[in-house]
Amino acid sequence: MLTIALDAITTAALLFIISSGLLIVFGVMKIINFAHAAFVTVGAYAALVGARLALPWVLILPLAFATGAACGALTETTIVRRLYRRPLDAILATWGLGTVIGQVITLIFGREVQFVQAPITGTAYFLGIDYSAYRIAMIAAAIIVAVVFTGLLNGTRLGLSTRAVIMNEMLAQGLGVDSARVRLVTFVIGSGLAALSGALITPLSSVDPNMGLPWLISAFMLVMVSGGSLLTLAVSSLVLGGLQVVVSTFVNPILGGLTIAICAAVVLRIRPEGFARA
Amino acid sequence: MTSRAFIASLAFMAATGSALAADPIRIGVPVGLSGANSVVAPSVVQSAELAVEEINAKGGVLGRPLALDVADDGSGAAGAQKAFDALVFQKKVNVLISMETSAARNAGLPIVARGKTPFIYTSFYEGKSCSPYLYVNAWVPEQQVPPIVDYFNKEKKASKYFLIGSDYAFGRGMLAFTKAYIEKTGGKVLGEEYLPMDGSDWTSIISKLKASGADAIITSTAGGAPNVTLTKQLRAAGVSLPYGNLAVDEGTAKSMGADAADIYISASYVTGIDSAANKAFLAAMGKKFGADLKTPNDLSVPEYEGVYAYKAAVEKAGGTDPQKVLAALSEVAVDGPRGTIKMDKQRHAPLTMYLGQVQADGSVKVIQSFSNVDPGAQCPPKS
Amino acid sequence: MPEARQFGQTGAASIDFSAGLRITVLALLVVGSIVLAPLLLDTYTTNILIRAFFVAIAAITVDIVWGYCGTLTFGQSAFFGIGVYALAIIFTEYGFGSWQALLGIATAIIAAATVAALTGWLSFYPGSTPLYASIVSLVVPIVLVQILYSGGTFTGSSSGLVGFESFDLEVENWFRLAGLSLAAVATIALIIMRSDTGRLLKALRDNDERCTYLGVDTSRYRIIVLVLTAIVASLAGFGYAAFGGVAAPENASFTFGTRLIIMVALGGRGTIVGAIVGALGIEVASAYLSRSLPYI
Repeated sequence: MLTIALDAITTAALLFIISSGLLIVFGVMKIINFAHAAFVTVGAYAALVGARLALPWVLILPLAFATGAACGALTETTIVRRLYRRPLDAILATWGLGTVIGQVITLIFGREVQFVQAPITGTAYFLGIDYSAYRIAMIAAAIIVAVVFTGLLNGTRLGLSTRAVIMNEMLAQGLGVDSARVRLVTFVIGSGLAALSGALITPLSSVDPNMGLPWLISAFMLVMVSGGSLLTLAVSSLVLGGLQVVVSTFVNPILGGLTIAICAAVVLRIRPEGFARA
Repeated sequence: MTSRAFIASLAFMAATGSALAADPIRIGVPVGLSGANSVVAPSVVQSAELAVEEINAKGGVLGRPLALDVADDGSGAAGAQKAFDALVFQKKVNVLISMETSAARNAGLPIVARGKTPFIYTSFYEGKSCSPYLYVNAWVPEQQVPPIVDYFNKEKKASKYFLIGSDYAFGRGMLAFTKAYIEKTGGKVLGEEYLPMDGSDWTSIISKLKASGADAIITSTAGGAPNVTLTKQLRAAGVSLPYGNLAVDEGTAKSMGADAADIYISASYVTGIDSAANKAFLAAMGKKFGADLKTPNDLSVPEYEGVYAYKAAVEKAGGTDPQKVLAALSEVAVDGPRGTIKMDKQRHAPLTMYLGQVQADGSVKVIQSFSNVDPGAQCPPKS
Repeated sequence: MPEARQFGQTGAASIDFSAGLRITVLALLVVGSIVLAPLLLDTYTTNILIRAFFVAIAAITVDIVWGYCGTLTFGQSAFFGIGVYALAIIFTEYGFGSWQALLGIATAIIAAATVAALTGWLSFYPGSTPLYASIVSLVVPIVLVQILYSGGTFTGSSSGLVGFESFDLEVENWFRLAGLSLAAVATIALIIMRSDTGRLLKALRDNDERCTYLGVDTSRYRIIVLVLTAIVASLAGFGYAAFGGVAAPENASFTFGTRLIIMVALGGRGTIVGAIVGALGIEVASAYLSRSLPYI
């Protein structure tokens, strides 16, 4: 029982970390970045490079974030900037970009599956059972991410501008907010977060050019259901992630992977704003 | 006039000359350059390249050089269809020699039959694939599973097994045989769980394993990523039961590092085989590929021997006529790194099997070896 | 050149006859070349083209839903996959024969129509956004593929289904069958799209709200279009599997759906011919390129 609960919470934590980057981009720019999966992969490979250079994990994580941020800056200025008014074309363009990034990674690193050693190995004795220590650390990571970014949004000038742009971009521009800069910064942070999450999941899975893809759809659906708020994202990650674990354990791991997508689609049909407070 | 005669004689020489520089025998190698098999595919291609180079250096086969045509089958059915189509109908290869996933192999067999091309399958697999065009020089479950289960039963006193696999022909076929063998030897199977080939989240399966109280695990996943993710997640969850992996090769084990320690494997090839043929093979591979060498393993060495088997069959048949070559393949024996191999048991081969334990540094220690293990009745003739 | 419109002529069913005649003549020329081509092409190219023809039919359906109706859809691959697996499962379970073939076709049509109706209900309701419709179309193939994976030996899971007996036609005749089917679908599509129905669909694409104000039930039309194109795509998949003898989850995946979109985008969205050109171009090019550059 406790194992399942922990499975659910740690899965939710992972989903939250991966989706948070996508949420920030969607909330501000109202476009879906299909290259998100590629950024996750970039982060994982950055972690791989860092591990090969024998950097300590304290440095690998910022390295991954910076790599993702750089990719994001490049993407925003060249591609995304032209497609603000065309969300459907943005989906296609970013999907194409994601494919290109995947191929570039293949060219540089080869197709083989690579491994990164986990910084925390083994199990921890947690509330009476032995559970994977690294997965528990993920909960802490998710909380840190949530706190830092909520702080950024609510406590800084940039956060204020961002919230203004999320609420009503035209009005914000009218009040003198440089929305182009806000978009750039948001995209950069979102991509950096994606890469960071990629680095964080490497100890739990293999590193190969297509590793980000399975997460993309779940993250995508979670973001749609969450509207624009990090809090609702956390709630939906818990609810839907938990459902996924329950279905995987009691019914079928394959159908479990579907729960998020199906539940989210149905929720959106009934309540187009998702779980967000109207 | 003289110049015309000169040109004419040049042309004549060119014509006969090109007849002497005989046209090559084409070997098609459809292999998983992308997808689940992408980890081992490079080693397979390297083996084929070495074999072709060695044979050509000694004058080729019946005076004709060998040429390789590599194609990517995407490690799956859809890609295999395209790759086989290209090799059989566009490149018009004389033979297909390769290892592939069972999904790819099954998709390619109809094309092989339509194109009447001999196919030497160099991968271990779940058995009972019986196209008249298919020859197999790698192991089947009857050869690979008993050593591990017997060892666990006897030495590890295991009796309650949990089986985990990838959901496709190989995963299910191997575990079906394993389950039958475990029950035949007095054990019990407490659970049998599968994930699709590209699945990477084994969390709920591992939780079920821990809850079941099993005292040994046997897994049969697709090569490459699934092996890695499952092993890593098992170790992260603290599982240290005796762990028999029916589908991991030395190369993957080596790169998994400490996580792979204590895994038991059963294979027809390990790099540590102490024979002159193996040592010569390893030396030649090292010399040809140097730092780019991918560890020869149980999937790549049969490829090397497969090329030599084809050479022998062509020489015995006196040509590349498919029907004659197919008949000759069951009669020729090849001396290679795995010993002497002859595909004479219903198109499958008796093999020497090694039970090994992966060490902390990734190398494999041979615990026991069994010579001349019979593949059983894979393709009984229809009576 | 604007076509003369008679005042008072209404109804989506009226067909513009002069354009229709032009198209039919062109189609006859195309039919002639399809019948003769297999005699000139080698087996490998023929094989590739046969598959490309069936994929092109699916691409046409994507063009209708996206280019003419304005919904970016990743989901047509799911309907293609339904056709593929309908054939494969029935032939595997029941063997090959005429009643099995009819059952297969019926299953392909009914299953595709049902799934399309459900998808349409989910995506097209008053107040839905094009983005939401695209998302639902993305989810449908993913769900379908996962269901295929969880089907064990019934659906072949990751391996797919092979080895079932199928229609025994010569490669040349397969070429003619596939080519003619493509020509027929293209002709019908062109005729319909140039008719008032086509104008209605374009109106839906260009300004949904205005259509609603004018009393057009946009949701109903969109769902009908989805169901009809789903049936066509499913039959294309049926043909694809009948020829290839292989059913794999990749045939239903959203990656394939995305490829269809790219084919339409590259060939020219909103023109039926563009979809065909894009599909044939990409299918043939990728087959030949992967021969010469297998490592990429």
